[in-house]
Parts: sequence; structure tokens; C-alpha cells
Amino acid sequence: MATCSLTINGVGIEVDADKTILEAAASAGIDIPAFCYDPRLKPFGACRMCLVDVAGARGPIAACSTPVKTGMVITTNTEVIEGLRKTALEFMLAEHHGDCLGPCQMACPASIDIQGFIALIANGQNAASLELIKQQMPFPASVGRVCPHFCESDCRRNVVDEPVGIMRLHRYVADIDLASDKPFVPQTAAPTGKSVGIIGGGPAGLTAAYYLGILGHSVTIYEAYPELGGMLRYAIPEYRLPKAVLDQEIATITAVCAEVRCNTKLGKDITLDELKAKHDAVIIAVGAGASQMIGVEGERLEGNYGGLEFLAQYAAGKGPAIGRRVAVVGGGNTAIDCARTAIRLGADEVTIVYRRSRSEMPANPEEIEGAEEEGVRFRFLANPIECGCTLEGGHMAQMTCVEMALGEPDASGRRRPQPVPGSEFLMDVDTVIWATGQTLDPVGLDNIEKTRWGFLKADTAGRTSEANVFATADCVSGPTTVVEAVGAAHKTVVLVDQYLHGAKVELPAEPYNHTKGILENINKAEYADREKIARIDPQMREGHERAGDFGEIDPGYIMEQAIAESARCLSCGCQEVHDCLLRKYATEYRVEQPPTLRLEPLPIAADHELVIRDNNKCILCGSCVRICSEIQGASALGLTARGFKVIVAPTLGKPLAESPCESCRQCISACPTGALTAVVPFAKPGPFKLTQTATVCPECSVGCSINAGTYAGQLMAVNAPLEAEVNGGNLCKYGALLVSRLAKLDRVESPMVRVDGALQPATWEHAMSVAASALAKARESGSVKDNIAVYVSPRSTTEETDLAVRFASQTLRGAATVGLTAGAEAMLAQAGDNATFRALGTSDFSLSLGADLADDYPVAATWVRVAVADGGRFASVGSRQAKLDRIALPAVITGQGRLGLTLRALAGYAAAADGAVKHAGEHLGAAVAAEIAKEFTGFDLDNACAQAGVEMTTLASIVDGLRSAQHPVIAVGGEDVGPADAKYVAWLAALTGAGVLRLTRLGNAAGLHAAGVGVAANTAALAAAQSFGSGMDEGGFGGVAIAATNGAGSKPFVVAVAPYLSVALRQEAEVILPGSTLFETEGTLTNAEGRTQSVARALTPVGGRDTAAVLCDLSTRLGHALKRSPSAVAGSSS
Amino acid sequence: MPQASPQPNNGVTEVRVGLASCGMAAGASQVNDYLRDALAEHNIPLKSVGCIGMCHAEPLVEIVSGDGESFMYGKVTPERAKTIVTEHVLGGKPVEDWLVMGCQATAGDYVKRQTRIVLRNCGHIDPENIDDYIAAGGYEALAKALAMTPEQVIEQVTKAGLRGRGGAGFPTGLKWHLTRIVPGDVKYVICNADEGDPGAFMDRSVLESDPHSVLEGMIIGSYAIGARQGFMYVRAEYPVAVRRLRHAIEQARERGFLGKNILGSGHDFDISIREGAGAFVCGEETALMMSIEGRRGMPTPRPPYPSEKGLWEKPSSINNVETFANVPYILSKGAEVFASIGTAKSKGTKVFALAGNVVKGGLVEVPMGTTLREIIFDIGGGIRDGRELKAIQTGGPSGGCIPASLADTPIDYDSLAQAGSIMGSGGLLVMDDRTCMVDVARFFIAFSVEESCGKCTFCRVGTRQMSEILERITHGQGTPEDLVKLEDIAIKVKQGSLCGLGQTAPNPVLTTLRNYREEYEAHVNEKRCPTLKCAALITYTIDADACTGCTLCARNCPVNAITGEVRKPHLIDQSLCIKCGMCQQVCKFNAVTVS
Repeated sequence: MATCSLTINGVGIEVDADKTILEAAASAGIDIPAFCYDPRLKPFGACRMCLVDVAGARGPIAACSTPVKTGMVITTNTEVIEGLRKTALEFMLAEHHGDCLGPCQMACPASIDIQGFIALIANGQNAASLELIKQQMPFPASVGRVCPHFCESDCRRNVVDEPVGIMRLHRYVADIDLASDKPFVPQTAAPTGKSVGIIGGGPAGLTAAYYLGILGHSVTIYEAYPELGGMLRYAIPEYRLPKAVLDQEIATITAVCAEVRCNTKLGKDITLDELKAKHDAVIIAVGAGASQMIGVEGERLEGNYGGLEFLAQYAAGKGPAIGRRVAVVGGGNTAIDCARTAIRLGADEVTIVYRRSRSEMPANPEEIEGAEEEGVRFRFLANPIECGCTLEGGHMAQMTCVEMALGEPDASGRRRPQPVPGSEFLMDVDTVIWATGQTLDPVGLDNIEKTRWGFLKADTAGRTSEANVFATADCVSGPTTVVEAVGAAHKTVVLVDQYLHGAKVELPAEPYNHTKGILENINKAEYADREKIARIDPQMREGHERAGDFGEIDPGYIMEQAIAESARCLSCGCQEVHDCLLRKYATEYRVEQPPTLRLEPLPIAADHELVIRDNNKCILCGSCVRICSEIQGASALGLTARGFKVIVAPTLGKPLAESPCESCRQCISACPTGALTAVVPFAKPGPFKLTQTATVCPECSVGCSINAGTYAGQLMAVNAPLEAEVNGGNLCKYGALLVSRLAKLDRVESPMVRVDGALQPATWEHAMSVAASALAKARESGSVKDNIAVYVSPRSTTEETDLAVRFASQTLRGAATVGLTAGAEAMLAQAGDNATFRALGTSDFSLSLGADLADDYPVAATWVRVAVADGGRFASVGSRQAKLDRIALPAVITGQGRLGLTLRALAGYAAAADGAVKHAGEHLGAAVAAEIAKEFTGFDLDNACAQAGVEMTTLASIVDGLRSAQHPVIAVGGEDVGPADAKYVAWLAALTGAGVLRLTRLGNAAGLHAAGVGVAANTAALAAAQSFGSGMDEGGFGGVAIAATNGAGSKPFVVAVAPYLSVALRQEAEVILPGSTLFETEGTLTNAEGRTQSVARALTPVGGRDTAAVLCDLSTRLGHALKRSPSAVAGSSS
Repeated sequence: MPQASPQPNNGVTEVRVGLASCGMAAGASQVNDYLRDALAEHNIPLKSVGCIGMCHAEPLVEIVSGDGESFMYGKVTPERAKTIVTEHVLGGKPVEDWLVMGCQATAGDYVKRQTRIVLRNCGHIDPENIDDYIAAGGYEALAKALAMTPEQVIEQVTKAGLRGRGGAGFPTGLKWHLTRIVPGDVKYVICNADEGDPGAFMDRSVLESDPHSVLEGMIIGSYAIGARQGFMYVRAEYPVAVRRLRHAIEQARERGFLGKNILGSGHDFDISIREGAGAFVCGEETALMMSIEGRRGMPTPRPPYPSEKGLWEKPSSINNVETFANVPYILSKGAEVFASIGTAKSKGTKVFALAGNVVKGGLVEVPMGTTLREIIFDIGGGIRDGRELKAIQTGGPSGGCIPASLADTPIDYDSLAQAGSIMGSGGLLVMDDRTCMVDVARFFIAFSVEESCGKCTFCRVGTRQMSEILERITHGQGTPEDLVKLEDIAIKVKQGSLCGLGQTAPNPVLTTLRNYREEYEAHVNEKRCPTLKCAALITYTIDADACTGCTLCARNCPVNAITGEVRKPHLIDQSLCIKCGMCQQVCKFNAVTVS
């Protein structure tokens, strides 16, 4: 290959001359953004993101489609180019209509993946749900009781009916966790050797401690109060958050901390300077816990309390003394908490005095209602001006108030209250609680610079005026809510971690988050088709009843309620949010969401059982349309209309399910955004950040490389890596269906033993001993060879197969193994040169024999299409019509049972050529050459053609095509070519110099064959094992079955190591031991090329051990120690 | 076709009726029907011809005398035809009042001032009669070319300096050469007859009036590049052209100009017609080829250029109708003759569809280098209604608006580009001082929005955003930021679009912004349309002093916004008025004013 030298961004590089600018840049490690580029497809040039500057060109050049030339001077990042890219992104986003993240998560100050944790609840994965929450929120049980739930206010479900009960769902999984034997404590990273001192053990301090601890830092918390929790403990009353819950939850946090020192007050017990010296970093998280009075005369008299002081005294068990008539001044949640506490402490009359009206109250509406139900009274539009104006026996007796009127809105948007002159009135009160604001307690913080409101000053990196001292949450921002403090502290953790690692201290850029807009602007019609389902709110105790004690008011959800409520989630956030290229580049180019051009959202099409199409997120890169026609040959999707109205739609305007769609989901793999997404076989789809494990598809002998995307023990997605050698990023309908097939399997989770005809769960010990004694007996009872057989699924790894073969021969002392079909075995038994799938893709003449490539081995068909698009020729010979016949020249259809005649005629025609037999002999050996010569001595070609019903010219066209091609490839289907005819295929290949791909629907047939697994059904046991095993294997996830008989006619005793319950297992098996699927084990598979490929463990076996482990154990119990087979060398071609 | 009379009646040898689409639309068929009967009685031959280009005077009837003198009658009705037959054909006395050419008729300047190469046969020969074309020297060039080597043919075309008439001006000889040198047995010649610019009809007229000249050019081209198959991609909206082309192709096959072994040269070539469904973008060469292949017409990135990988990935040469029509002329007259016409870099002539606020609109063919002013004033007779020239738009929605101050710009590829516009395929729209340039930009962008294929981001969304901004501005809702944004988007759409459609779509915006910024500013800053065109920014009122109460305006108002009693001043209800201007048009007392 000739090369070109050129310059990209000032760096000279040398690349192959057939590369495009985009590919050249990629090879130099320079990323040129592109949406419509896909290495599987021809350049399209639609998205215009890949424009680059080429010196001397008339304008910007599309890198995806322009070939390199020597001497090119390319710049990928000029101001003009970056401006164009940004504008292109803004254009695409102006057409975009959707939410990257659910509005709930966007509204959550702690950025909890709400959609994700709700989906996990809906999918029955409570533990995973809790872990997901804990990535952002350390005390969900507590916050799940007291949060102002901004999420619910923004929930799109408001448009349909009522918001999802997010807060209670959050609490639900946390309560389950705390009630469990071992509440979740995260793994911490290896110790970093750095220490952090955190001043304040409230929400912010605990959050910082938790996440810094997880990161491996040594954390010490200094808390002034006797116990941790801060506001959660001392400001939130027991009836809202039981202390027991709080204590339990704090224990899961302190589990990752080095030290907790309570009763340690800054400025009294310790000084900032000491901490600065002792720790690598210090975080001030003291909150704003001092009550702020409003400066009314008499407010310091006895009988007056600050709101927080009042609540804290109660929480600390120093029950504050109250009178009979209590006034609580203020309108926030603290005022409500004080009032409801006062009621519970036995006050006759509790009145909240608030200077604005009810609608301006900052407290949660349900809190206000709760207070009202418990008898709290309200005096709106009133403000105290003097306290204790009459003293009765030294006690306060009255408070003077003035009536207020609402004037013009102030900076907060609320109307400013103003006193009405001459409206003063007296209230009879003996206790006044001032819930009128909170402020910083500045003790010990003299050296820290303050804001003009008296809070701590911190820069954008979270640092105070003192070196290595950070400050976070309320002591910086002023009083907020618990969830806001958690969010703030979590950000500080990122900064402190950077600081401790000596990195640049700055918050990472916020990712671009597209939104459909605020709730008021949502087009109701868009949600008109959503079913209305009433929100579930648990039954509370009656107001008068609960006002008498401090028992918890809200019982939370029970399981049925939680599952039903989680089902109400609309899953607004985009399924592709983690992988979306549009979002990635919008973030990189710092794009702001432009005004939408999509005034009428397009309907989301769910017109296919596997694909969801959302044209509102389509950027018209055309990749789906192109991959469907160019690679898949289906043309199920097309572009319709013109200009701005263009959309991708199924052909002929029908639903996708009625189009020629082959369900391969290649369109989804090509989609750079969330316009095409997969239907997943779970109640809620997530999205989740998947763990990708590189492995191999077990479905057929093509052996496609796949990435298994897993989350919380589930296979969620299967993708093909673009760089994969065998399949080049292509995947077919079988691979695409793995996820749902696996999800729908009836997994064997524990051993089972048949008792009185019915399968019963059993312990490993019991099941193993039943199996072992039965097999041992069979082993002793006569001819093992005839009486015991082991079936190995062709979806087993080569190592499992080898182990099973040794189990049969050694442990069982001479049992046979089965697992292949006769056709596959005969085909694999033939010698000859293997071709590769890549060779099929570049072949100038390829021939399909006895296979419907497009239907049975779609990725092989993909390579044929690629070859044909590049000018190659393809021919097909089969007993029945095949999909790929459309592009076959010629396509020969022999009719059922007559394929062999044509194969023989083809071989005979090929053998007649000069030197062909000699040539074949060089490949297959002299003996085969002699066999060929013998077979075709006196061969009557005319007669053979007549018998086969094929024209001689057709044969000639195929054989001459193979012979004259540079890279001829034959793809043969093992199931269709009969055992007797397999040799003709091998002969034809050797006679014409073609490479062969031996295809079978049995994933590891080549591995089984190499391990000596056969097909011969010459004993009753073999027949039983074969028939039972193939019944067991119909789900396609393998296993090993051992059938022991007393000879012909007797019912076999079957022991199966199986990953799932098949019909055969249910009916026949005596003992079932849980086994592993190919996603739960490791080893190798050998594909039709003869390539040995690694299978990696992506999931833990459901039963706890994989098939090999079970076999080893069983073998030991049968008195023979078997070791696992060593892994075959991966990646080599045999 | 009636047999020619051996004894010409009163010296009249032939009567010709222009029967191209434009003539038929104006009523030429009825005139033709009348004349067929009337002249048959007197054995005077009647010939259906194509379009001579005087659209402003259709239907046209030409009386040819034995001495070769020609009299052209304009706006002929069957009634007028009766008089013409009686007085001129039979009586020998021309009806001077109706003459547009011949005798003293000054309208003849319209044709006389032109140089007709492409239109050489238009209006003179019967487009449905190959013999007429042959009699006019047709297919001589082909015979000449087939006697040369293909390289010599390419050399002639190269020497002539012929550049693509579709608008981009790529040298035709070079294009043929590039296609010829790519190895391969299968190559294609494609004629782009997908004339899509609103108001442009040069190609249609040529196809309707002289289809063989295009076929002959294609056949010569096929020989030059070594193609055996040609495609004529023509809009389905041109039924007359399609019909005549079909007929012409059949005739050419019968005579051996198409098919196997053309004129014994050993060269094989045939042409198929492909009808386009009217997508503007299919005039773009790569989209056109996709459309021929039966796929959705969408431009593809170049390279590869069609000369390397074109139709079905085979080397293809694609030229426009007018380009092909020039080829026979070059071959028969010689490259030097052709190259002597025009300017240094732009040779030959260019056909324009002259339209807008000009006195005489129609098809004009002038040598390259002729100034816009000469076309508008000397040929077109100046601005209608005695108004001032304000701007000239060339190249349709892809072109720019050239201000009157640049009217002396000579038309050639480079000068027009310098003036901010393009040659384009030949649309030439004259705008007078009553034209609102913001509205003009809005109009053309609206066209591009509709016609964008939607494939590439810049064109699809950028045209739409420009359109929205222009709508805002013409509705008086524009802001100064809109102007900044508009210009920014226009520049980026030009730089970033995939094909010519998107790359040129912003031209009307950019040139009007450059040349008429004050008009934009008036709309944006003062919410005022200086030319009183933008409906949202104007008010119609009735001057009570001038109004006679004739009720005409009230009766004509389509929304009944005008009330008033007879003989008393009328009043417009502004809340109902849709500002259509009908009242002003019908008022006989100039009582309706607009402000």
C-alpha cells in the first residue's frame, strides 16, 4: 500500500494512501467529531461535523469523505472550523426534542439518578437500587423522610396526573437495606495516605466524610454535639425522622471513616490551626445552625426560644419548658416542626404567626397540612413588634403584633409585607418560638474571611482564605435543605480529592443536558396517550391521634405499593444518555440549548417489538437507513419528505414490524443519539451505566465478537465492537436477541432432585450425593460404554467440553460423549483450507453451499454484501430458496434432498479440469486425490447434470468463477449438506483453490469436534443423551447432561448441569445442578474459521458456581479428582 | 403538414405559429387551429415552431415572404389572425399596428440585438420534424465529429472555451477529458434538464423548440468520452419537452444518429429519458444521478467526482441542456468562431430568462460580456411603468441581488461572482424601486427551505432559521441581534453545506444584507418597510377628502374591512384589514394611501 505524508495540526504523519482525512487524523490520535461516519458504511457527508481546514481549499472540507493526498496541510481546530461545528451542533439541537436526564434528576440538588433507581425497584433489584442512590446520597432513609423533593415538583408525571412518589421510593429501598442483616457499606479504595479533618457532623460533613472515605482518604469528623447528624438529628423531630433510623444510617457512613470525635467544639475543644496542621485538608461543614432573632423588643425574655434551639433541646432530651399558649413566628419548615413539636409537648394552643399569606409560605405544603390536621392555628399577615408586653408573675403573657399587607414583589419574587399603620393588636401567649432564620455560629472561625451576609467566603474551588481549608454547604451558602447540603458537599469532595492528589482544583464541566423545558411549557398533547394511574400515598394516622405522641407519621411504602408506584415512572431521561455523541460534543463545544424549532413534537414510534424510534432525537445522519440497506440488505428504513420535514421512517409508511426489518438492530448500533433505542426485556429500561465485557456470541459458528453490557447482575445489552476481526462491528438478529432470551430463561437457581416424580429444591450436598450415587451405581452395573453417555451442549466452551469428555472417559470410566449433528460432524471431519470472514468480505467470487446465509448466518451474508458492493461476484447453491439469492449469479435451487447431486456434479466438473486433481492432492493428500480420481473415473457429466437438474453452463459458470477468482471462498452450511455429501464440498474447494468456511448453527461445533465429541447414536444411552440434550439446549444456553441406562429400552437416569429449566429437564431429569451460561464462565470457542476466541465472565453464575466447577465437584464425589481444563490459547487460528 | 404551395400566394411562403409551452399558455393553440383551417383553403403552408423568446408578446405568428422577409405579429388572437390572413396573407398588406418585428416595428430590437447560437433554430424550425433540423444544418457537426478522433473532438470543445451553462462554469472540454481518461468500458453521458430555478425556462424552450441540437450535442459528447449510454434527466413538469424529446429520439434512431454503429463510425450510443419528480435538488449532479438510479435524490460528497465514479459508480459526464446545444455549433463552425464571441475567460453566449419589472420579458441570448444594463434597457426596453431600476437578481434562489449601481457589470462567470452573484443557469430578475429587498431575501430563502433535501445539517436547519429570522423582520419583530445572527448563519451555511444548493442558498441574504443594509435596519430599528411592501408594517387608509364614496373599494375588499355609505368617505377597519392592497389598486381617485 502506497503511503502519503501530510500535516495535521502541525504534526507530520505518514498514512496509507487509501485513507480519508478522518481516518488519518484518528491514526494520529486526533479526534474529528462526526455523527454520520461509521466505518461499516460509505461516507455520507451529512452531519458536517467533520469539516476541517485544508490549506489551499476553497472552503472547509469534509474529513469523512475526502481522501488524503501527499502534501495536504490539515488543521482540525481553527476558529472558523470550531465555529462551524458549534453552529452545526446548535442546528441539530434546535431540532432536538427530548430530555437527556429526567427532569427529576435535573431538579435534585444531589443529582441522584432517580430514573435509574426507580427502574431498579420496578425490575425487582432493590439492593442495586440502593447502591445507585448511595452513589450520590449517603443517607437515603433519612432524606427519604424529610426531603422537600424538588424532583417531584418537576416530575413530568405532573402533566399526566400526579408526580411519582420519588421520595418514598427512595426511602423504601433504604429502609429495606437498613432492615437487612448487613446494610450496604461500600468498598473503599486503597488508602491514599492523605487525611482530611471535617468540622461538623451534619448532612454536609457526613456526606464529605462518606465520599472521601470511599476514595481511600483517612477522614476524621469533629462534632460539637454529643452525636452525629446535625440538623437531621437536632432540628428534625422524631415523628418525621426516628432517631433509630438516623443512628443506623449514620453507622453505614462512619464505617468508612477513620475517626469520629463528638463533643468537640471548634474554638473550644480544638482550633482550626491545630486541624490545619494535623490534616492534609480541612473541610468546614458547620452549617448555619444558630437561630437568628429579628430584633423585637423582649425576644430574649424567658419563654422565648430560637426555633433550632427549641428543637435541639427536645432532641437532646432536655425537653424545653413550654406554656399553654405558644406562638411560633416564621413560615418555613422549622416553624412547622416547632409548632408540631409544641403540640406534642402538650400546649393547648399553638399558633404560627407569619407575616405573609399562606401561599407565600416556604414550608412544604404537606407539612403545613399535617400541622393543620394536628390542630396548629395560623395567623397570617401579622408580625410581632413587641414581646412580653405584660408579664404575669415574671412570665411573658402577651405579644404585640401588627397586621401586614403585601406590597410590590421583592428580589425573591414574593410580595414584600408592609405593616398596616395603626393595626397593632395583642396576642395572649406565654411561649414564643422564633423560627425566623438561621445563621452561622462563627466561633473558632475568626480567621476565615466572611461574606457580607456573615457566611464563609469560598472560591469556585471551594477554598477559604486559609490554605488547605475548604468550606462547604450552609456555612457558605446560608441555610438550605439537607439535600442541597449533600449536593454541595459532594462537589467539595471532588475538589478536595483533586487537591489531595495535587491535581488542578476545579469542578469538571457540567455535561450538556437537553431538556424539553419546564413543566409549564410542556405540550400536554405529547403526554395525552399516557395512562392515568393514581399516585399511591400511604395511609397516615389521624391528626388528633398522632398529635399525642412522637411516633413516626409516615409509614412509607410496602412492597406492592413501591412496585406499583415505580411503574408510574415515565422514564423521561434518554436511554442513550451515557453514549450519545450529540451530548458528548455539545458538552465539548460548550453549546447552550438553542430555542427549539420542533414546535410540534413527533410521535414516538413503538411499532416494532425490539426497536423504539424517536424522530425527535434524530439528527438525520442516515446511518440507520444506510446500514439497513448497504449492510443488511433489508432497506426497512428510509428518508421521507424534504427539507426540515425529513424524517426516517419505515418503507412505504407502514409500521416497522411490517417492513422488511430483520430485527438485527444494526440501526440502533449505528445511531449516534437516542433516536433509535432497543426495547429491553425489563419492566423499566434504565438507562444504566453498563459494564462492558468483551466476549463471543455463542449463537452460531461465525463467532462474532460482542461486548456484553451488564448492570447489577443482568445482561442489559449486546453490542459488536467496530474493530472486531470476525464481524467488524456487525451483529445479527440472533445476537441482538441474546438479552431478552437470557432474561426470559427460567434459571435454575438451586439444585433440584426428583422426588416421587416431582422436582424439589435441594441442597447442593443432597443433590450431589443423589447424583453421585446414581452414577456410581450405573458405572458399576455393566458396560459403561453402552449404558452411560454424556451430552455436551455445543454452546459450551472448549474447556468445559474437554472437562466433560474427561469426566466421561475418566470419571465415568469410558462413557461416550455426544453433542454434534451428523451433518456438522461430517463437514468438520473434512480436511481443507479454512477461509476467514474478512476474506469473504473481500472475495471476488464467493459461493454459498446449502446455507441460507442471510437467515442462518446473517453476518456472513453481510460480508457477502460488502464484497458484492465492491464488485465481487456471489453464487448460491442450495436445496431451497435463500434470501441472498437476490444478489446471487447464479442462484441454483436443487429441491429438497437433491443438493448432493449438484454438489457431486460441481466436484466432477471441477475434477475434469487439467491438473485439478493433482492440485487437490497437494491440499488434501494423495489418498483423497486418489479417491477423487476414482469417483470421477468415467464420470458422465451430462448425465450428472441431468440427474441434478442443473444446466452445464451453470456449473461451468460457478466452477470457472471459483477457479479464476483471486480470492475464492466457499461458505457451507453444515446442517443442510448431508453427511454423505460433505466430501464433495471439500473436494470442490481443493479442486478450485477456494477457502472454506464451515458454518453451523452450533456455536462451538469446531471446539466440540476437536475435543472428540461425536454424534453416533449407536447406544441407547447415547440416543437418550442426544435427544435429551438437544431438548435441553433448545434455549441455546448450553449445559451438560449425563444419561445412565440399564441398556436398551430402560428409562435413563438423567443428571443435568444446566443453567435453566427446559421442558426436557422438567420432564426427564432426576437431578438438576445449576450451571452457567456462556456469559457466566470463561474459556474459548472455536469458530468456522478455526479461530479460537476467548469467552469472558460477564456475570456471576446464578447458582454460585459455573458448570466446570460443578462437574469437578461431582467427579470428586465419584472418586476421581478432575481439574479444570487449561484455557486454549486465545486468538490463534488453528 | 400541408404540402408547400408551388405558387406562393401574394408572396407569402409560410406562416409560423410559436407552439412552445409559453405560446400555448397564451392561447397559441386556438390561433393555430384557426390558421390551419383558414390557410388550408389557400394552400399556404402553416408550420408549428417553438419559442422565439418574446414571451411578453405571445402568441406569436410569423409571416414569411418569398423574398425571405419576415413579419412577426404579437399577441395574436383568433380574431386578429382572421384580419392578418385577410389583409396580410391574402391582401399583401401587413397590419402594422400588431407587428412586433418587420417593417418599422421597434420591438424587433429585442431579437436583433441578440446573438443566437443556442437559440439558433428556436422559433424557426418545426421541433417535431427532424428534416427541418437537418435542413438547418443539423447533424452535420456529428458527422464531422465522428470523422475526428475523440481526443480531437475534446480538443475542439476545449479550444472553444465552452464552460458549463448550468451555472458553475466548469470547462466542458476538461470535464469530457477527465471522464475519457478514467479506465472502464461502461461510461455515461447525462444531460441535466432538471431546470428548477423559479422563473427560469431557457432549457425548456430549447428542448421544446430545438430538441435535436441537444441530442446532437449529447451524441458528440458520448463519442468524445466513450460512452454507449446516455440519460436525459428532465422534469416531469415539462410534458411538452418530454414529448418532443421522445419523438426526437425516435426520429434520431430511425435516421441512424442514435443506436448501433452511428453513421457507420462504429460508435454505439443511445439515450433514455428519465423524468424527475420536481425536486429542485435533483438539479445537483450527484443528487440527479441518485435519482436516475432510482434512489432518493440526495447529493453525495465529492470527491469522488462523477468523472471517476458517477452513475452506478461508473465514470459519467453530466452537462446541462444549454451546454450540449452549444456543441454542434462549435463543431460545425469551428472552435475559433465560437471563441471569438464573449470575453477572455467566458466564451460564447448565454441565454437568460429575463423577467420581473422589465418592459419586455422573455428569453434573450447575448454574447458573454454584454452588460446587465444592455440586457435590461436595450433588449428588455427598460423598467416597466417608468420606475427606477433597483436591483438585478441573477441565478435564481442561488444567486445574489446586484444593486443598480453595478448595472454595468458585464455578464460573465467571474464578473458576476465579483458582484456577489452567480451566472447560475440563466434567471435574470429585474427589480424596480418598489421592491423590498428584505422581502426578496425572505422569498428566496423560503424557496430554499422547501427545496432543501434535508440531508445536511447546515442547509436543512440553517435555511429554516434564516427563514424564521426574515419572517420576524418582515413582520416587524426583528431585533438588531437578529441581523447579526442572520449574517452569521448565512456565512456558515455557505461554508458548511454539502452541495451547491446549501452553499448558494444564503446568497440572496448576504447580498441584500451587504447592499441594502439600511432597509434591514429600517425594518428592525424603526419597524418600517421603506418600500411599503411588508404587510405587517404598513397601514392602508382612505383619504376622506379624496374619497368620493364610489364604494368600489368596499365591494372589492376580500375581507369586508371597508365600510361607508354611498357618496360618503369610506373607512378601513384596521383590525380586519389584511393589507392586500386591493382597495388601492381599484380606487380611481387615488384616495387610498399606504404608510
